[in-house]
Amino acid sequence: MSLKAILGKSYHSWGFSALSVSVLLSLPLLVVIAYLFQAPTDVWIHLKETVLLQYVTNTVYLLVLTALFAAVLGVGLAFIVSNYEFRFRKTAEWLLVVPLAIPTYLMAFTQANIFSYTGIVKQASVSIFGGNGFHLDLMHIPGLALILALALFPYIYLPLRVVFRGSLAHYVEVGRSMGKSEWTIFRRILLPLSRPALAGGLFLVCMEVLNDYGAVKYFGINTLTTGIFSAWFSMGDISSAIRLAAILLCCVFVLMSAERFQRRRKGFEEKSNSFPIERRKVHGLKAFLLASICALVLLLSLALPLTQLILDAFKTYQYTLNDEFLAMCGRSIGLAIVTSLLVVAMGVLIQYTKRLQNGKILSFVAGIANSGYAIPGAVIAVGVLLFTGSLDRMFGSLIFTGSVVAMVYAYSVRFLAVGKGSIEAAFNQSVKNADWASLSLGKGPWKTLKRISFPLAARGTIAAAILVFVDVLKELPLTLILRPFNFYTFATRTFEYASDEMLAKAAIPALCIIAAGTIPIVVLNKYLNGDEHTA
Amino acid sequence: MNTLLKLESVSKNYGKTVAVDSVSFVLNHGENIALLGESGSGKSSLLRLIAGFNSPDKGEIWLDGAVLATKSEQTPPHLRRIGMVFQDHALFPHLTVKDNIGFGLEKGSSPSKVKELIAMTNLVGLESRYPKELSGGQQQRVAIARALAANPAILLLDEPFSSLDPSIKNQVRDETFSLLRKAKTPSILVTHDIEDALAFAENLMVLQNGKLIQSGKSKDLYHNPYNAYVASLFGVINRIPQDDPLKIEFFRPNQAKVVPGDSGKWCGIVEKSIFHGRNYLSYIRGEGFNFVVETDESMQIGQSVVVIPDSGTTKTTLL
Repeated sequence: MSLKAILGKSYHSWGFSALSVSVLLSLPLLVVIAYLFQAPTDVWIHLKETVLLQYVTNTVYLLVLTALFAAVLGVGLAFIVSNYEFRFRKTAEWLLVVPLAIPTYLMAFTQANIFSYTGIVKQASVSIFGGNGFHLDLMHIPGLALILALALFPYIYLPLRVVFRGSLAHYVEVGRSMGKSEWTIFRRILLPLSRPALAGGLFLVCMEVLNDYGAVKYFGINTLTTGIFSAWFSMGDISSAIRLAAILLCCVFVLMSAERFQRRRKGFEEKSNSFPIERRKVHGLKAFLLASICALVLLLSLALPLTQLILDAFKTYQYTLNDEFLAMCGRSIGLAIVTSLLVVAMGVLIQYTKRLQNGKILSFVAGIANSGYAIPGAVIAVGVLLFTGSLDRMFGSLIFTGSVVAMVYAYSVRFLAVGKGSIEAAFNQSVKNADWASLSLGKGPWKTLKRISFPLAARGTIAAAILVFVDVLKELPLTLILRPFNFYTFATRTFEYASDEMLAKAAIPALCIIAAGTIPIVVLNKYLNGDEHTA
Repeated sequence: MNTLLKLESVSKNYGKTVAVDSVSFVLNHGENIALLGESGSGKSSLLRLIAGFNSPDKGEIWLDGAVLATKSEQTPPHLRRIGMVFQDHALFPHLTVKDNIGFGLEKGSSPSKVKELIAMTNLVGLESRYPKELSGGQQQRVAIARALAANPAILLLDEPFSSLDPSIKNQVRDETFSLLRKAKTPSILVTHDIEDALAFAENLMVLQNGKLIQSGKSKDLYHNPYNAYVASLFGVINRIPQDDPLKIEFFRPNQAKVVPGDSGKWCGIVEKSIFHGRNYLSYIRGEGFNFVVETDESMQIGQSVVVIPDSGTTKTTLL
């Protein structure tokens, strides 16, 4: 194949740049796959004979239970707020998205604290009811699954709320016109038809569970992710870490295929309803019951954790708000800003060049680079370690391994897809034919990008930058593996305090992560509501 | 006339779908061509290949004797001097009318060119408005002025009237074509509307399933259509059943008479008779046929009639 064929039939320098970036971002994944073909080490044989089965069964058990709990919460709540009108509905509708701002590991630390022997639930129940009070032991897989579901159910709630109010709304009207009850409409029409949206949401929930390290580690549950950490940190055997990462990747590919298969199913065409569906007004006991369900979920997923964190923050701020905290702010925010700008620049480059060239090779490589978000952070970190390690060997000194550059690189690999999604949507929806018009008027690709495409796609690009910013701030496993010595971010600090049983001290960095995570949620919710009003 | 644009066996596939299938044609200096076809026939794909937005899988495209695109290489769109007016106009929403029109001008070009085009396209007084503050027709004129400002060798128009309200479409079409005639830029119009095509150019080309099935003067296409599809582009045709499954015989609604009667080859019952402006369209169903015939008067529903095609008007063509 000639070089021109690889770089595209025109705009070769753009093709070269976009292809180089895509290859660079695909390398960690390819390195992981390539390493698999090496001979197994003694550590791997030992792992296989002892804990591997436990890693896999725990991972699958946790995955299935979390998915189940999140689906029940997400589908149920989406149906309630989409179909019924009751007092508190509007507030509940948008508040139910906010738990998404709480990373799974934070939810796990906080809930474990709330329900522990010294937690607020126990204290409150003792003071109200006397005696030993109320205590709930959650330190097992079903308990953790429930806690993770409380943080992750919005991944299902959000898309289902959109389809219940949007593309499936006219089916609800058909059902109502036939005199069917709301329950029958839900069971016979909405639930089967919302399967693609449900599958998409479940996929995201499962990816978050697979990516989680902080929560499972804190709960002492051995999963594939904790296995990767112990293979690398305790046993110093990267080969075994990679083999575990590969098993984790297999789980990801199985989930991805299941989700794609679901999407390909025929008969699930999207139709938009130009008239928003009228919610059924409910009063009395039924209204109270529905409001109580929403309130209970909000209490457990939002109010209690936030109260606990705020109380802890007041208790500990004298010890935590110091110079070290300021330096940590600078590092966390600086890393997130640099990465988000870099990811946006790379995302725009790849997306714009794909439009210019329609090249199959670039699309293929960019597709691999784009799979980063589906790959757990620990796997990417291992891939980056191998890659930077070989670079260091080449240069003969430790330049990249354990450096901030390696962290930014790894973040970019993991979050390119997050940024690219918004950028691609902005190009398709806002730029449309405008860049072609500019090119046909004789303006070159750079001028066209600067004067037409970029200004038109600006909103989507800013949205992409915000999403990446927040994801970097939240990311734990990747940061733990790759950070330089004594380099703390909000996420790593929170994890370390929690691991050292100093949960109260983790409150302020935890609240910083949650506050940052709330920004895109508020923006996203505004967009969704805007869509509904304009419908 | 000398050749300006030449396409030689140009093909383009999208996956398994054949969008353009070995199309060859020539556009001469000073010539306009209308490219007709139903949606999905490949006409917009062909236009994008000429503009350089996509590259052909096979074949070559030449402009003024220089090769623009081959299977392996292509001149990027911004170096082709081929202007395009898009179906959605693709005006730059963040630029004013004046800036949109002046966008394609070289740095240091005379500002009088923009003024000239604004005057020519009847946009005086609207220079500082943004595209969303304009009517559909005004947007259309800005799109044309913008394309002409860059002095293109050829202008491509991709269904430019399909997004317009029917009530203003004819007026905008007439204005647009008169502008283009003034500009004297050779142009290719892509449309599915025969009226647009006939108003624009004498030379028509018809695409079906990505293939160029017929090209020539509009009269030739009307009188000697290559197949039933080309014949039906000019309006409804009445198909006369044939023994040969690959051919049809047809006549048009204005090429027959209807007389009361209950015997004859094309004897049938009037199903409906609809006023259509100048006259009525009467729908007649008989054994093995369904005809539509223009009649001066409304016909009574259920009346038994005989359709008599005018002698020498029925034509045979491919199915």
